[in-house]
Amino acid sequence: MNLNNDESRLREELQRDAARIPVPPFDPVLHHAAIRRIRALAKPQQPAWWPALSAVAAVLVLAMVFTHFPARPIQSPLVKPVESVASLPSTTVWAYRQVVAQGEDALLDRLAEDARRVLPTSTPIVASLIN
Amino acid sequence: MNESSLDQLPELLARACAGEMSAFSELLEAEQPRLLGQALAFCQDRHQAEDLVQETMIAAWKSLPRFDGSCRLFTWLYVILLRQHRRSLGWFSRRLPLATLQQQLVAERFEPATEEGTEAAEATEAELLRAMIIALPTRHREVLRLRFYADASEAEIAAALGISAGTVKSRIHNALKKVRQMKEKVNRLRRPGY
Repeated sequence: MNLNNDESRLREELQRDAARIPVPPFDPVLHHAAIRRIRALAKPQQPAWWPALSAVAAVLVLAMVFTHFPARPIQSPLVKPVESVASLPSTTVWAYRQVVAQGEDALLDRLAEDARRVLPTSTPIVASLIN
Repeated sequence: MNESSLDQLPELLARACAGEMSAFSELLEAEQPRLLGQALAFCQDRHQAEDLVQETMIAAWKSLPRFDGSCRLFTWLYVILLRQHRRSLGWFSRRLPLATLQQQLVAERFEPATEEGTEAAEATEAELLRAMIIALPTRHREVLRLRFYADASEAEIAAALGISAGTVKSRIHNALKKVRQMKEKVNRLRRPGY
């Protein structure tokens, strides 16, 4: 009951406060400014060609660059060219299994041999460091 | 808007919905003073209030085709005004530490024994009440403002917000409960023995 009284008192208070808010006279300047902005928004806009054109131009330039200057891998002078590795006979898992069957020493020898073929020849550098 | 304009309201609305700017302008001309009054009450600053009304008009133009006439045009515009205002407030509209500060400030300078019933006291109470409404969660603030400040019925609020009438009723009830709790807290602050 008390809560209901409180609520109806609060309702009355809110209604009184709402009635206290003054209603200003019509403002033609504000109205026309808003209508002007709406008219500007409502105007059919020209399709924006330049972003599409610039995107196409950029794609063309990139295509030309890639056609005339194909990407080449940057290689260290110490690294052997890829072609030489590719030309080597590939060591298969089967081959390794065969070597494992011959014993651990045979496997280590095989791995060292493969490493010599595939990895760059760094022996002089390593040797100079050790010496 | 005079009586003859009221008769023409559906026709004006239909023309405005069809994209006729002059019809839209005529419709908004009638609602602008009340919208501006409410905006001034929210912002307390003429310039900001004018911006808010302009943004409301622009948003109303954009979404006018979606207005189905299930509530009064003013109620519908008022919802847009509330949302534009909330957007302009940004993060603070959801957290509003300002409102809490405002309540404390008002409570500190209020002396009920000497001023009660005077115009100044009433103004202070009104300021306090508005600060409490600002401090409410958005869903509660919206329904209270629509019900009491836009004078919209519960059915109209339901239509304007796209919720059920039962939800409107319970939101109003909960909002009033929260305001009452805030008032009790503020009363305890200004009168420790209350």
